[in-house]
Amino acid sequence: MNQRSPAGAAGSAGSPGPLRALAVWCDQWPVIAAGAAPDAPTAVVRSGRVVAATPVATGAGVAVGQRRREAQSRCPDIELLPFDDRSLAATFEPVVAAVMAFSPTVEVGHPGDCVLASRGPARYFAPPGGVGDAEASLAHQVADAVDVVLADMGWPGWVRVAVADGAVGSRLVAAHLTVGHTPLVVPVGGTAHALSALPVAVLASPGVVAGVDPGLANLLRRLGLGTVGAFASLEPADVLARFGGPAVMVHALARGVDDRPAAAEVPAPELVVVATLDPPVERADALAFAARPLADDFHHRLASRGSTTSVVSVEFETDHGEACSRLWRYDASSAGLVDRIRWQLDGWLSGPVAARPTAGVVRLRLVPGEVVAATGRQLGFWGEETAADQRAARVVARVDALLGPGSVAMPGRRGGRSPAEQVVRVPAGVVAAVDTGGMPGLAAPWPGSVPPPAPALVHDPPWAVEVRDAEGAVVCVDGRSHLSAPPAHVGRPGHTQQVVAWAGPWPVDERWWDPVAHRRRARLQIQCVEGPPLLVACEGGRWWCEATYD
Amino acid sequence: MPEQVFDSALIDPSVLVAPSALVRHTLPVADAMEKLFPEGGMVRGTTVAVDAADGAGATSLALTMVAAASQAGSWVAVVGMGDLGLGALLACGLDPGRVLLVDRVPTADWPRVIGALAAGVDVLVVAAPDGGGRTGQKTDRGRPGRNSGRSSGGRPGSRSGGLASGVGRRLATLARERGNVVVTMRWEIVGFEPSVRLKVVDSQWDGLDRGYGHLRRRRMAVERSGRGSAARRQQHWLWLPGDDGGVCAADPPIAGLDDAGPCDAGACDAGPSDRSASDEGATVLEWPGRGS
Repeated sequence: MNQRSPAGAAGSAGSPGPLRALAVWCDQWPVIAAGAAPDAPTAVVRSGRVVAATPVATGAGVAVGQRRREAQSRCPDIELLPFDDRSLAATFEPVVAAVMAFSPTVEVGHPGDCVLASRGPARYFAPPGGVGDAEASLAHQVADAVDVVLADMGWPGWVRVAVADGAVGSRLVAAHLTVGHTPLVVPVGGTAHALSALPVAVLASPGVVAGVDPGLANLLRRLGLGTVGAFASLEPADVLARFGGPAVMVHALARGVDDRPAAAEVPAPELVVVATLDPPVERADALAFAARPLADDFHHRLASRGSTTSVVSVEFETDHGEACSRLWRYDASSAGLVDRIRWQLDGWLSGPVAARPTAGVVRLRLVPGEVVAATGRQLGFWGEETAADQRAARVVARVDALLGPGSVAMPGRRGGRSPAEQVVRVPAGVVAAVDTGGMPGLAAPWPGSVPPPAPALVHDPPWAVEVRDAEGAVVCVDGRSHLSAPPAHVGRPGHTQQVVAWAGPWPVDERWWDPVAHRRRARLQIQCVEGPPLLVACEGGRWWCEATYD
Repeated sequence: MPEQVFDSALIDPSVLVAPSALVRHTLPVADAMEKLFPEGGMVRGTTVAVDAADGAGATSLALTMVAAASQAGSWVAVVGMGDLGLGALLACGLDPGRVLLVDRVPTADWPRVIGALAAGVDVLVVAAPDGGGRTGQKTDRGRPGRNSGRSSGGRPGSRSGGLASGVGRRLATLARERGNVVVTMRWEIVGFEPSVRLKVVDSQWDGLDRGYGHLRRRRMAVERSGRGSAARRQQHWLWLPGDDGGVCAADPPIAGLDDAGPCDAGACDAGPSDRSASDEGATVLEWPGRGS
């Protein structure tokens, strides 16, 4: 029971394992959508550049990205077709419908490729008797189903199917299979190896990871990191330091770690956006117009929470109550989302007659979602770590709901000199997103910090104390961090006690380069006759009790 | 949506199924602290009161007490301690990934929050609910210039902060029904006797001198009383924190002698040999009847 089979590691209680995804890739979809035949030299051109070409044209030297003239010079009898956005999605609809027979959560990237989480379907569609690899069996079944659809369009054998770790990984593996290759199943953990020989440009592009610098692939190539494998061999910390945040996600993909968190957060209800359309909208372009502010709103709500999602569910409802919902890959741009909304309505309107809507769309909902959550997770029996963690997560949500978001905190290590800075309260809801173990500056020496043990009570804000010397004058600290006299009486104003022992000062001159945040302080540890030792700080000639060694 | 099941746990605990029979009976504590508990650990379903005489040390004692359970996988919730030093919390050995801090709980929501937390964590460390006298406003961090100079040394102490009477009994019922360990911090609840009561009666720091050194370690005397098997009053000496920041058994101080103590030998991870030392260190005070 506990054995990890390649088909499904979901049964193991500890880490849920990588998300296994099955990708369907139909190469050069624009030419298929344009109605070209595979044995004719045809290419689709958008803005003067080739975006897709038939194999015959490719064989003659036509390549994606070439200018129209160049393509015509390579292959004089080429037929150039205009790019038609609408037919693109509409013609892909039968393919998606065929794939959706295997799983309701099919995530469409662009017309031409779609991904589904394969763990559940692989078990459900496993061959009877349990013989053979369930994932390979599923891959063959999906490939056969899609092939039937493509054969109707005149492109038999054109589909490529791959199963690998993660949506991006499986999509890339499928995209780089040769035409006519049998479905490929990359074993668990083998995705990085499968991708390692590919040029790094396939990963380091804005289309794969949102926000990536368009020049990243070129830069990596010039640095001698020409392949995905070479990039993957770098240390993640080095990648972050040299190339920035988005590159870390690229790097994680290169190492076979999917960008999607394994334990996805259930989207908060306030992230769902709904538009009611009155009058009902019956045309895709009109819907796209109405959807634009909605997509902007969706994007801003996500961004203002500092989060993102990798998939979004677009849901339509018509005046007659028909509904259509589909998962799309979300590339963190509202314009891309509007395209997908339009593609979906195009596909619905031109789908099978029986499934077509009979009235205009009156409601449009955008729901951020995670496929991971839909696959479910097997909890341990009682008392096991995952169960306890899940209970705690529910408690966080419950208390947040009672007291307002952010009222439950968890300790997070940060760098710093004062006791209040070294470990801070992080809202428990975002702890999963912040790696508390790897904050920069954590291992820095922080000269000037008071040696351990740490005080058990930290007063924030600190309270005022009086520090006086034996003559009763206020003790002050000069520019060279020398005390004017040893402290003899310390305490609240008017209630000072005699000092038994003291140590310090520990001078700190923080952020001297910043006129606003600049702070100069000197700290003393003071033990009075009664009570626990205090950590007092002198700042600007006044003394504050920062913490108590309780 | 979070489950709606447990929000009335404090009001009507009888509807809940007690899971305490299904899980491990005691939560572990550090070796040096086993002496403080008759069962050698914190028994699920019981309450522990931690307090201190003037010498203080209650916060460190409570944190260290729950640290071993945290490391063993239990979640710990700390309620109403806005001035808790998180550095000390980690230094005491709590796993930061399994600690929930709820700093400010309005009195009106207090029972429901406690009930909700009890449903999800093993150990609840509860300070007296916000009676309106605490500092710890998170709004004005940074420069101390805005401090109102308000008394923050005055702890809510024996006040029950506007909660209805019987809060102690309800906490005990909650702990028993849910199988938690409820630790009350510096909170003398009138008419309520916890299962185990730990009181720091003496606390002396080491390492600080007149102008040099720094706080290094502390020897504290912890007096245990309570109900049932804990009724026999005992006093134990601990290094908390010891030289390595952990906790280990200490010898009682000898008057007029600045002794080095066992921690210098690097034996803070109290092994079997250390336990015999703590046996000697335990001053057992025999009391005829049940403790208070």
